[in-house]
Amino acid sequence: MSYMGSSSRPFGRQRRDLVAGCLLGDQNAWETLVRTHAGLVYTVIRRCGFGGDEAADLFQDVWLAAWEGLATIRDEGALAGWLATVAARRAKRQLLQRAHEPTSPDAEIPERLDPDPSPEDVVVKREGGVAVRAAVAALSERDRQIVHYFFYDATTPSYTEIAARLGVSPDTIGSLRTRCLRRLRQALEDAAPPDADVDTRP
Amino acid sequence: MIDEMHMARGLPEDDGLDGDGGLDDSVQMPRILQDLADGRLQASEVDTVVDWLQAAEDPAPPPWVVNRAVRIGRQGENGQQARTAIWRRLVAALVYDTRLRPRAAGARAIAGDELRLMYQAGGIEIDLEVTDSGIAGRLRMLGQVSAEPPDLTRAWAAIEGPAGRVEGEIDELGQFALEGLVTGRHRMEIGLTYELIEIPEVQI
Repeated sequence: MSYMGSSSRPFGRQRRDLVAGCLLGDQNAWETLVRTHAGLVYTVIRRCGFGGDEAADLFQDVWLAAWEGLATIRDEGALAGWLATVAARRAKRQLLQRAHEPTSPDAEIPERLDPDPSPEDVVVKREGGVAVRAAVAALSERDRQIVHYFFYDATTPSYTEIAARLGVSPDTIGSLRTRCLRRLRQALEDAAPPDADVDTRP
Repeated sequence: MIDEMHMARGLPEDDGLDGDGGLDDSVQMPRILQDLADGRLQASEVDTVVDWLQAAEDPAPPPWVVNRAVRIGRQGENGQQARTAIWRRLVAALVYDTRLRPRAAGARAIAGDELRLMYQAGGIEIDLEVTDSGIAGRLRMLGQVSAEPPDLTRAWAAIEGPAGRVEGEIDELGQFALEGLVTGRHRMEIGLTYELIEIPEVQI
């Protein structure tokens, strides 16, 4: 049974069939699920600063967790978000473990984002995705700042720090982020090439 | 409110790591991904983050990394539990190669011309023998892993090279056969119960 349509991104009915197939032990469904979302999971891992063998092991760990937790998905339309969340959690746990382990001089140095963040407009140049570059470029300067602090600043600024840099109250950061993400999503949709997949996520 | 949204969509609940959304200064990852991990994003925000990640065009995972994840489904088939124990990943080192020994002269040079390789990793030996296959231009690899039976449960061997990926099961004696290979550089993985042994380069 094939779960792949003309595109590499299953959606709607296909996605529901995919999860159901996995739960029934269908290997083809599982393989399609992995191959379809492998890039997403790997991107989360790499953007958390992992590379090489460490990224490969973490990738495996995420999919083991996905295999075990697939039955808990209640909204199958949220599959991609669920996988990204699992990946972010595993990456964070690994980072916490690493932070509490004594460092060895021979330890592999992980790939890290630039620790010295550039001005907000450099975000656009650093980003590899054409659509992302176009989307961020289309945002206001204020939104580009917010995107920079949330998506690219390797120092992981706290909400208080972000608020201080933006000159606003920390209480407003949540709503600022929500509005910015809404505009970013619209900009991503506008920047997507015309033949790009249309996600029918409910 | 956000937690309720996560529950409603079946998003994974926080596993006790920093469950209050507070931060550990020792962890450096993009703020938005930490918020994602901590369940601090609304469902629509999660979708936006996914869109951003998918549009990022970051490097794809290597095929062997993806294939390893695909294998999880095969381990879990027929109602069996997928392997959840943390693998000990070992990289095997070449300890013997018939091509590196002095070439025999006379009649001895004719017999025993097959390629034999031996690798070691964590006290486990992998003995490989490469011979001609029944198919012209193709090679057969016979292998033996020196692991004990508990470590051979649902064990497998996989090789990737110019002919693509070939996989085979390892039997209870540690033996396996991989057919249809061609000359060239390969990468091998031996999946045991408690170890994943990598042989980054096998030249056959």
